[in-house]
Amino acid sequence: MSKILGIDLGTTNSAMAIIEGGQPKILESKEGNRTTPSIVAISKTGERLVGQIAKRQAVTNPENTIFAVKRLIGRKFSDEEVQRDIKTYPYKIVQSGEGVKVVLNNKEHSPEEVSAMILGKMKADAEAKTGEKITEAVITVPAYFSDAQRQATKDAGKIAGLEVKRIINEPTAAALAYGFDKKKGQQVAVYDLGGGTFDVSVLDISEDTVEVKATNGDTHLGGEDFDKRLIDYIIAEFNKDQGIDLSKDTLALQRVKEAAEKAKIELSTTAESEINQPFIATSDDGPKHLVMKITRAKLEELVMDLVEKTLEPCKKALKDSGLKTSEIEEVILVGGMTRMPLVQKKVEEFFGKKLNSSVNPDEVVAAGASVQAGVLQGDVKDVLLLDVTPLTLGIETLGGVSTPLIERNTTIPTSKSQIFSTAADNQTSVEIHVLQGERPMASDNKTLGRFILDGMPPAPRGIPQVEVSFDLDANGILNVKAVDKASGKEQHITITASSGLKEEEIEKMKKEAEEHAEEDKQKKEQIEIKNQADAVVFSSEKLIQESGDKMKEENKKELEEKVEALKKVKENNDIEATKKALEDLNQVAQKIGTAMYQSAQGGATSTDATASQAGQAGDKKAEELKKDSDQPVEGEIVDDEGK
Amino acid sequence: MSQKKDKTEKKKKPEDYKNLYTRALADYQNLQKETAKEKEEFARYVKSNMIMEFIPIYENLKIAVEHSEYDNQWLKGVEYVIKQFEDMLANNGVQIISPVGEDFNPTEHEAVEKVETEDKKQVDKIVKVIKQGYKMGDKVIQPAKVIVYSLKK
Repeated sequence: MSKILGIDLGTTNSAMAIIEGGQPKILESKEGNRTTPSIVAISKTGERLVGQIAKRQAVTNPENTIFAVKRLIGRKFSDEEVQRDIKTYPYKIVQSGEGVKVVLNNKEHSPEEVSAMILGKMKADAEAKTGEKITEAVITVPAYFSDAQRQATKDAGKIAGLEVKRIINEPTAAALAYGFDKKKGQQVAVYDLGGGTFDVSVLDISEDTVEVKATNGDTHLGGEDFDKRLIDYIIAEFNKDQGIDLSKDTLALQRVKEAAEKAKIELSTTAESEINQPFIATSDDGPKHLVMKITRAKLEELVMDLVEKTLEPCKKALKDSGLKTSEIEEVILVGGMTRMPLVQKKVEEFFGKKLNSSVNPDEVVAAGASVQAGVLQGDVKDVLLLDVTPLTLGIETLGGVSTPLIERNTTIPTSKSQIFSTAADNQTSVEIHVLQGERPMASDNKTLGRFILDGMPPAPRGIPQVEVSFDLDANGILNVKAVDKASGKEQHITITASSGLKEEEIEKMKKEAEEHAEEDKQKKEQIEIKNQADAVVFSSEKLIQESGDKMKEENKKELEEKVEALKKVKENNDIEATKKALEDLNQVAQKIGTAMYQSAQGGATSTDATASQAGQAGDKKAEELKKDSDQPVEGEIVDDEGK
Repeated sequence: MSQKKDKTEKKKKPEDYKNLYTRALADYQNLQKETAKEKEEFARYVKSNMIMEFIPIYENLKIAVEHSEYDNQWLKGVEYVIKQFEDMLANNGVQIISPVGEDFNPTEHEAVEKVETEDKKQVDKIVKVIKQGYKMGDKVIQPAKVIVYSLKK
C-alpha cells in the first residue's frame, strides 16, 4: 500500500511531502534539498536536466532552459500573461492550436509535458527516499487557476506516471497544514509571498468544505524583487564610496549577491548585519574592500514600498469576500519572504490578528497537500489519537525533592522505571509518595497516592536496590510498583485518572511552575547541596571511625574540623557557603586518602577505598538522578522511620 | 489525566488489533532504524555546514594573497596558513572542485556567465573558475562557479 505524495508545484520552486506517523514529512530531493527548482533543460547532448542541475547550466543554455512554466500551463496563446512572457523570456514560446508550446532543443513541448518532467523527478526522488513505488499524488494549484489550468496540471501528473487523486488550492493546503479545516464556521486569510509571486486568499471553512471566497495578488512581485533592492543598494553605495561599479565584475557581483542574501536572512533576527568582503576589487591605489553595516531599518526602508504594495490586493480580496478584517479569525503566512519582520508587522497590523507562521513557510503548502493525501488514503482516520500526560509524574526523594519518572507531554500508554535506594543505614522500609506536577519540591505538587514497601533486609544506606515502576495506560490509569531486588518483596498502588488534577488546575499548576521557576531552582539546589553535604559528613565520620588510627594526628584533626564546619554551615541553606565547606572537606579527605595509599605501600585495602570514596561520594550524590539498572541511583526514598 | 474517546467507528475484531499492534511495533522499529540513519546523516550535515562557514574565510585569505604586492617571507607564512586550511579540508573528506579547462558539468559546476567563441572545440569548456566548488564524498556541498564558452551565433 504505497503512499499518496503531496506536491507543491510552484512557479520557482517545488516541494513534496508524505504523511508519516500521522504527521507531514517533507521529502528531500536526491541532491538533499527540501525544495527543487521548477526548471527543466535539455543539454546539447540531448540529456534532460531537471531541478538544481538545470538551474546551474541556465546561463550557458538559456534557449533550452525552461523556467516558470507554471505561468503558461493551461493558458491560451492570446492570454496577456503569455504575450508578456514571450517578450521577456529567453526560451521560445509558440502557438499550438489555441494553446501554447515551448521549444526545447528544436522540439515542441506542451507546458504539461514540461511540468511532467518536474513531477517525474519529484516522483523518482520520493521513491528513492521512501523505498516505495509512488503512483498517486495530490497537487496544489493557485486558487485563481481556471478549469483548463487545473486539468492541464492533472494531465501533467498523468504524463509523469502519477494518478492525481485531487487538485487542491494552495491556500486551502496551507489551512490544512495548520489543521484549520477543523475550524468550522471560521474565515481564514492566507498571505503568500513567494519567490516571484504574491497571492492573498480568503477562505471560508464550513462543515464539509474549505471554500475560497476571494483571491487576489500580484503575479510579478516576490522575494527576488526584495533581494534586488538590497543588491542594488550595496553596489550603489560602494560606487559612491569607491568609484567602482561592482556589477561589472563577475566574481564581485557573485560575492555581493551572496552577501546580500546572507544579510537579508540575518536581519530577520538581528538589528544590524555587517557585510565583510575583503579584496572585492582592485584599483590603481591598491585593493578595495567591501565592508558595510546594513541595519534592519535600512533594509526596511529599501523594501517598504514593496511590502505596502502587497496590502492593496489584501484590501481587494477582503472587499470581494464581503468580509471585514475583524471577521477573519486566522491569518496564515506562506512563502520564505514572510520571515521578514517588516512583512509580519504589516500583515499583522492590516488584519489586526496574531499570525500563524509556526509551520515552515516554504513547506507549508506541500505539508498541506500531504495532509489531504493522508485523508484520501484513510491514514488520518485510522490513526489512533493518542493522549499525552499533561503533567509530570514522579516520587518524593531525599530532602523533599520531587523526582520525575514520566515527564509531561509523554505519549501514553508508557512505562518507566528507575532504581532508588535508602537514605539511612538499616532502613527496612521505603515510602513511595506518588506526585503529579512540575514543581521541584514535593510539597508543591499534588499527591496522587502513597504506599509503603517493607520487609527489606537491613543494609547500609545507599546499598539496597528498589526498582520503582510507573505504568500509565491509555485510559490514564497509573500503576506504581516498588520491588526490592534483594528480597523480591513488592508492593503497588493503582491510581485512577480522576485522582489527578482537573483541566483548570493543570493550567494553574503549569503557570505557577513558570512563575516560581527561579526560586524553585534555588530551593532544589539548596536541597541537593545539603544532601551532598550530609553524605560526605557521613562517609567522612565513618572514615575517621574506621581508619582514624591510620591517619597522622594533624590530618585527623584537620578532617574533624572540616567535618564540624560543614555540619554547621549546611543547616544554614547558604548554597555558596556549603559548597565551599564541602570543597574544603573534600580536599582534606583526598589529601589524607592519597597519604594513606602511599603509606600502605601498594596494598589496596578497604580503608583506602573508603578514603577516596569519602571525597567522591559527595560528588556522586550531587549528580542528577540517572536511570542505571546496575547502580543504586542517588535518590533516596524518604522514609519516616529513618528520621 | 484527561481522557479522550477513540475515534474508530466500527467494532474491531481481535485479529484487527493484533494487526494494528504488529504494524505499530514494526513502525517503531523502523523508526529506530531510520533515526539511527538520520543521526548519522545529520552529523555529516552539521559537519559540512560548519566547514562551509569556514570556506569564505579561507577563500578571502587566498584572494588576499593574490593581491599581495610583495613576495616575501611574510607572504610565504600566509600561504602556509592557507595550506593549513586546505589540509583541514582534506582531513575532513572535502575535495576541492576546480575544473579549469574541463568540460562544464552541471552536477558539479554552476555557470554564472558565458563567453562566446567561434572555436567549436572550446564550446562547453570552462573558461575561468570564479569560485572553487567543494564536495564531500559524492555530495556536492557547493558547486564551483564558472564561466563557460558558448558558440558564437
